Parts: sequence; structure tokens; C-alpha cells
Amino acid sequence: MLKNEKAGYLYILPWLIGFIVLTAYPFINSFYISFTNYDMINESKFIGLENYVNLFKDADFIKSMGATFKYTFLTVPLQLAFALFVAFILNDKLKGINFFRTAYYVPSLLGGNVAIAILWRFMFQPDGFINRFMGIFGIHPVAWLSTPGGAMTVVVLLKVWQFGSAMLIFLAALKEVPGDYYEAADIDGASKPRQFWSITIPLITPTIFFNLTMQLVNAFQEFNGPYLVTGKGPLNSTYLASMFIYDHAFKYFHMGYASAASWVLFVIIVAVTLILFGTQKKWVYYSDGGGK
Amino acid sequence: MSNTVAIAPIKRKKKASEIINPIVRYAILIIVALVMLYPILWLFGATFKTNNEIFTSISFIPKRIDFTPYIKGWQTSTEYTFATYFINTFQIVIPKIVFCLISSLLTAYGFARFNFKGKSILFSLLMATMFLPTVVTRIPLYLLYRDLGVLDTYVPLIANTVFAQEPFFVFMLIQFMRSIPRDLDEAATIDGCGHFGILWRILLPTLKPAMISCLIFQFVWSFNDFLGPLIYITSLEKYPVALALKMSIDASSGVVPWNQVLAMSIIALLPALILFFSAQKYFVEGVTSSGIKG
Amino acid sequence: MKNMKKVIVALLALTMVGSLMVGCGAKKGSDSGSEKGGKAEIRFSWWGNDDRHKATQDMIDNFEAENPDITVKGEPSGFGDLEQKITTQIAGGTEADVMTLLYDWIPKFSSDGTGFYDLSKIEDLDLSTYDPEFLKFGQSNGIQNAVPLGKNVTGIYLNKSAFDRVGAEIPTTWDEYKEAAKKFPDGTFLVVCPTPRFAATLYLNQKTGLPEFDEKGELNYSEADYLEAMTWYKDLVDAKVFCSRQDYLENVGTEPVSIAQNKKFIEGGYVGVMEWTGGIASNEATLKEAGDELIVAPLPVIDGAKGAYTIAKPTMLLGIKKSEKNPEAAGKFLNDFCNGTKANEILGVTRGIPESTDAVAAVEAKGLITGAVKAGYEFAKEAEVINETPFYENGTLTAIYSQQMENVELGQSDLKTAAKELYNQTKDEAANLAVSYKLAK
Repeated sequence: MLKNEKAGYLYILPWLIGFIVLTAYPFINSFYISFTNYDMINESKFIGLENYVNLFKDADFIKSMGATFKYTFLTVPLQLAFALFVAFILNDKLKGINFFRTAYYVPSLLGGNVAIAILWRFMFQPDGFINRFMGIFGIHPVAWLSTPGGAMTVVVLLKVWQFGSAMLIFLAALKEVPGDYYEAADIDGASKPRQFWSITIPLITPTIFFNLTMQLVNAFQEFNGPYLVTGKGPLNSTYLASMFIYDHAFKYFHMGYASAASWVLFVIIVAVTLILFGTQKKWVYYSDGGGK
Repeated sequence: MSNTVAIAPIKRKKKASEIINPIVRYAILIIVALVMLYPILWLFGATFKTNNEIFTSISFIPKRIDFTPYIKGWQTSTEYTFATYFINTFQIVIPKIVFCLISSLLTAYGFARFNFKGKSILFSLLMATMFLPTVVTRIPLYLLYRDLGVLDTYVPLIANTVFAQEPFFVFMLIQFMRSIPRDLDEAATIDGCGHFGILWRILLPTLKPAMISCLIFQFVWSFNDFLGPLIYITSLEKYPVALALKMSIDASSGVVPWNQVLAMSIIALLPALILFFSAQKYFVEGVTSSGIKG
Repeated sequence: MKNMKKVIVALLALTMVGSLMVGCGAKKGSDSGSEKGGKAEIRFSWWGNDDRHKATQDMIDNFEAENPDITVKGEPSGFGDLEQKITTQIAGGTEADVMTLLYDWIPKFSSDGTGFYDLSKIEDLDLSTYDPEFLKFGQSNGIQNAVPLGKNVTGIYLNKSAFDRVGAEIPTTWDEYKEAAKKFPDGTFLVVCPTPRFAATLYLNQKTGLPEFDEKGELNYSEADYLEAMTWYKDLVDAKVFCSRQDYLENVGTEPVSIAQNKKFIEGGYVGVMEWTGGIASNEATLKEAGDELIVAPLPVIDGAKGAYTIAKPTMLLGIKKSEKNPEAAGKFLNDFCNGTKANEILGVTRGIPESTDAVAAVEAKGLITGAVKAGYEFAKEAEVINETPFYENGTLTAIYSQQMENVELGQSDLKTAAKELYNQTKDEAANLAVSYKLAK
């Protein structure tokens, strides 16, 4: 670790200035607003904890938090495993590998494109592609979009399908694994899967940790997927916390209430992240040899 | 536990079953690629379809091929063509990429390689800024930019990147730097390198794939950003592509020429596709030897 | 070592200066309503599709040619995330000088009538071309905040060709609807109701002769009324007249949206729609492309109705910014937009059929009202309407209906419980709204 304190500050100075000037104020402001009845138009009044108390009595909010947790714990492991697996396969010198990598990144490139909204509904409609495909194997058609479980599956699959960013980060990490390690393992006759588990995985744990953290943070704040395809979903099954917050902020003008909900979500994400950082010592291997 | 990296050799001969048949491998790759590419094929096909065809057919093959939607879409119903909107977009995206890469790299270096007082608190703050839904910070931020007199300019869209206020990139680079053994730094110090020299000559070359990913992400995300411009940009002549694309989408007011909208969104995908494709070489070349020797 | 430090400092400085340079490159934030060398510049914001953008820009060009001392800067947009944009702008006091508005934005942004410019103070604006009763849609707290542009009335529009194909007559009563539904193949529904609220209010309008809320935001309907309306609605869903919630979820989504671009509607699986007259144009265009004909159906009346009532609201409104510095120029433009003959010949029906007598005369003389749109116009003109308050546009209230009907259909609740929930939640939400709209008790 470089001991030069001044230089350390110097390097993070741009960020620190930006944090103070651009980020801190809106942040603190929204915290204050969460204790008011601010509606963006009229004068706001300080109402203490009222928003928070109401939130925990609001069945819609509780339900949306439940849906958010469900969504997060379904998408994150699935997408991560998928991204890592595909990145590993694509980290080879195959012919045409560039094409395949680009192809696999396309869904992420499309992001919130209107084509996705149309196509995903097509796929999962009663007579849609998925049901017809399952019909070949004699499986009864599933009411994907009109049952709570079905709708959740649709939005989870959408997220998993857009695994490109996580894949790209894994590819960059795999690229940094020194090739000599594999050469040594080859000489020793270790099988590919064995090499994957004992060389690749440990060496890219910092990246796995990064992807895991970011996926969690993003999944907790997911908005686009359900917004595009299922909306609130049957019985509000895909009405995620961020949609609740958006609705209250800009549809119903309860900015104070929306801010309170945001801060509850904030605390939950902080807690989950803290737990995650706590487990770091157990499984993340840093080549720089140091803790923090 | 993490020390298992020291390779435990397992004496075992390669079995035939472990060598995946290249045909099977390609077959899987191609099938998955089709699933991934289908939307873009459909999108491309849809640019030639009529509205009813678009909304009723899952097949990507249009009934006829006619490039009028591309021409009309490009011209738009406004006094500007998409050429203006593309130029505007690049005026936002290029500075964002440059600033983001520089500021995030410097900040990440500070956090990853230096010890200073309050570091863990500052790092927590950096992370925490990602945790609050942006919906509730948007208005105070808007008022701030209004008071600075920079509404209807690109400043509010770019300023964040100048000050490394996108923690995703900083955190990512921190993680990548921490996978680089420190012995290299020390060796370089002995050779007379200052800390900036270490960053420039030792870390940066190794970080190339990570920096390229950052570049791609920043490009794609800024290119697609709709909400930022929607709120900050009011003059038509300053609209970026993302805003122009959705400018005609209002089903409540009558017929939306969807094939034109989709044709332009295909065109808008091209820069990212080209960038991604050409950046590939940074992820493939020299997989077997990275030049890092401990 | 020391050199390196200098390099860093230089780099940092460069990064920051860079940001300032970007700032210099772009023009300073536009100061609206400004005077530039004796020439007034005003901003006009609206949402729409291509046709509307083009017509509006042409109208602006025409206005500028007729008024060389005024420049109008157009700010077109789509409909997506509109509320976020306008809210942010109004919170920042940076909204355009003249803007198109949705009905419930009037009480939202101007609960006491001071959120927008008082239009009665503008001499150049002639409002005598409007029915005084109709103008009330644009008032808040008795102050004319906006001009309601056109009238929207709820009606039922049917795919006549689909009826012809199965040999069914166009129904005129709900019983005839039930009979007609039997002639269509399984899975077909006669009328899509984007939210059960539409049908339920229509029923209760006719039953009671009253809107859902009075001017003070008090509920006019009782729990028993809601139960009756929901029972009636459910019965028609079971008879395949109204589209079931489950079917709507599968084929459309959760939110009330236009079905003009819906697969099932295009393919005749939905034979009609209950919607505002303003939606006729796009529905008609869609069916025309499929070779089918859309007609405006006669409005069915329930048994024991107080009248053949239907719901009315304004299509959209036009207002002027609260702190307008150039009310004369803005007023001149607004007047031309609402009443100008040339202007309305150019604008046509891209925002529906205008209510101003001058404007509608211009549009009619040019023969711009045709087909189902014309039928819809006649229908709206003849209809006995009940004017709904801005509460009717509230998303939460609509969601309560959809939610409760969904609970019933998906077996989470029965009609009685659902009606009770609907009544209680509506009442609570209405009370909240009354507070935020500052309605006098």
C-alpha cells in the first residue's frame, strides 16, 4: 500500500468535489423531504415520521417490497451464473468468436427498446411461441401474463436474457488471468472444468464480487423490465419498489412519501451490501494482497 | 481458502469425453445466438412492415421490402433530420466517455492503491450514492442546474462524469486494480517510477480490457439515456437521438408510423454494434500470455 | 516524482476546465418570454405524433408570418414520461410560455387558480367562441387557467365488418349485446373496457344522473351503488360482452391504454371498445388497414336510467405559464391557436375536433371531419353528458377499480367485499385528493 496520503487525496479529489457539489445536496435534500408532505407545487410542511409510519401500513408498499425481494433473489444468481458460464465459453479462440460475443450482447444493447416490449408479450401470450413450443412436449399452455407466478417468471427471464454487461465484465476479468497458470495446469494434466474451478474462479473473485454487488443494487432498483412488459402485473405481482416510488413521485405527486419509500429501500440495500462486504474476507481473493 | 490459487496438480489424462466436439459446441453457440439475435432480426424486418403487420406478426419476414420508412424516418416531421440528432448525441457521448474514463481511473487508483485517513468512510459514501433511487434526487438536482443557469445545455448531462460521480465505473476499476499483484508496483518504484508512473505504465496496460468495457458501457448507456435529455433539454435543435426516437410516440393522438420509429432505432443501434464488434480484439488477443509475471 | 505530481495537477485542472468549456459551447439556458431587439420570443410545448408535430410547426410558421414581431419556439415531445418532465419544469418555474395540458394537471398544478396565468386578463384572447359551461373545465377556484380545446365523450365503437361476418346485428341494448356475443367464436369479447371504471361509471351516471364526485370532491355514489355496478359489469363479462380482466392482462397489460395497436383488436378477437371519442381516429385507421370498418354504436341505456347519460371531459387544455413576462404575445398566439381560421385549417383535427365555434367552422369547411370521426363528433354533440371532475383522471382511483375487479376475477375476493373495498378506498383517496386540490369543504 502506498503510504503517500496527500497523493491519495489528490487522486480522489475530483470525485470528492463532485460529491460535495453535485451529489450530497440532492441526497440530503431527499432525506429531509421524506419528513415532509412536499408535493413539488405547494409549500411543504414538516410532518415528522408520518410518511414512514404510513409506509409500513401501506399494503401496496409491503407487497411491492416483497415482490422486489423475490425478483432480486431470483434474477441475481441466475443471471450471474449464466453470464459467467457464457463468458467462460466465449473466452476461447474459436472461429467467429467475435460474432458470437456481439450476438450475445445484443439483448443488453436493446435495453428498453420498444421492440422488446412487443416481442416479449408476443412470446408469452396464450397462443404465443413459448406455449406452442411447450405443446410439442405435451405440456399444457401456461397463463404467463395473467397469473402472479407467470408474470414474475416473464420479467425474471427478461433480466437473465439481458446478461451482456455482466458477461462483458467477466470477459475483461478472464482476460487478466495470466495464461502461464493455465499452461502449468495443462502440463500437470488438470482437466478444463478442474482448471475452471481451481484457477479461474479464485482469480476472478474480485470481479464476481463486483458483479454480484452491482446486480443486487440494480435488481433492488429495477424499473424497466416490468414497466415494459408486465406493468404492475396480475394482483400487483410485478409491482416493484421503484415503480411504487415512481408512481408516488410523479403520478400522485407525493414526493415526500416517495422519498421516504426510497430511503427505506436505501437502508435495505445498505444492509444487504454490508453483509456482502462482510463475507468478502471468506471468498474474495485480491492479488494486491491486502484488505482495505 | 483463497490460497488454493497455488495450483494443486491433479495427475489425470485427458479423456475423449472431456474434449467437447466442436460441432456440438458450435451448434449450441448458434442456437443461443439465434435466441439472442431474434429481436434485432424482428426489429429489422418490422421496419418494412405496416403497423398492423408489426402488431400481429411474430415472424420477422416482411411482406415487402421498401426503404421509404428509412428515408422518411431520417427526415423526421421536424425541421431537423436525424443527422442533427446524431451529431448532438455524439456531442454528449464523446465528452462523457473521455471524462468518465479519466476521472474514474484516477479516483479508483486513489482508493485502490493508497492509504489515507477516512478512506473507508469516503468509499462507503461513494458506494452509497448508488443505493438511492434517482427519482427522488432528480428535482433538487434540476433546481441546482437551473440556478447555475445551465438548463437546456449539455452540462447537466456531462457534469457527473467529469467528477467521477458514476460509482459503477469507479468501483469496477477498483476491483480490477485489486486483482493486479502489488509486487509490480514495488518493482516499478525501485526502478524510479512515481505513483503516476505506476498507474500509467504498470496498471493501465493491464487494465485495458476493463477500460474498454467501461468505454462500451458508457457509450451504450449515454446513447440510450432518455430521461436525462427529456428533463434538461428543451430546444429541438439540441435533441439527442434517444429523445428524437420517442418524439413521435403518442398512440393517443392518432397513428404512429412505427416502421419509421423502428427504422431509426435500427440506425441508432449501429454505432454501438460497430463499436462493440471492433473492441473485441481487446478481449481475445493474447489469452495465453498476459505479460504479468509475478 | 515531483514532475509526476505536476502532471496529475495539470490533468485534474484539465478535467475541470473541460467541463466549463462544454458549458461555454452551449448557449445559456433559454430565458423564456424574453424580448430580443423588440421581438418577443415565446416557447410552446406540446406532445403528439408525427402528424401533429408537422401540423403544429406549420401553424407556428403561419403565425410568425402574420406576426413578424413574435417568434415562437416549438418544443414537441412524445407522450412517454411526460408527467415527469412537466412536473420538474413547473417545480423549477422553467415551463414553456404556452403549453398543452392534461385535464387533471389544472388542479394538480393550480389548486387555488394561481398555478397558471389568469387568462381573463388577456385582451387578445377571445373566449366568446366557447360555450361558457364548457369553459369551466379550464377553471380552478373560479379562475380561467386554461382553454379546454375539445370535448371527449365516452362511447362504444364496434368493428362492423366483424359483426357482418358472423351475421349479427349491431346491438342497441345490453341484452342485445349478450345475445350478439353468443354468435362469436369462443375467446372473443365484444367490448374492451380498458378499465372496469369506464363501464361502472357509465352505469352509475345513468342510474343516478350524477357524476362520481361533486365539485367539493365528495363521493356521489354509495357502497350499494358500487356493488350494483360491479355485479352488472361482472354479469356482462361472464356473457362475453366486456373483456375479462384475465384476458386483458394476457393480451393488453395492466394499464388502461389505447388498443389501436393491439393484436387481438386488429384480428377481430376484440370486436369493439368503450373509449373516449378522441380515440376513434386511431382505432378507425387500424381497422381500415385490416380492411374492416369501425362504427360508432348507439349508446345502450340501462334499465331504470335517469337519462341516456354518458361521461364527458375535455380532450386537452392550453394554458399560459404563471409568471409569464410577455402575456400579450403568448395570448395572441393562444388566440390564433384556438380561434384562427387559417391556423385551424392547418391544424385540422390533429388534436381532435376543436370546440371553438370559429375553429370548428374552419375545420368543417375544409372537409376535414370524415368517416367514424364525423360520426363520433355527431354523437358527442347530441349526447346527454355528465361532466366529470378532474378526479376522474386520477390514476390511483382508476387502479382501485381495476384492482378490485381483478381480485374478483382471479378468485381473491367476492363482489361484495370488492365493492366495499372499492367504496372505502375511493373515499379515502378522494379525501386525499380534496386536500391536495384544496377543495373547499
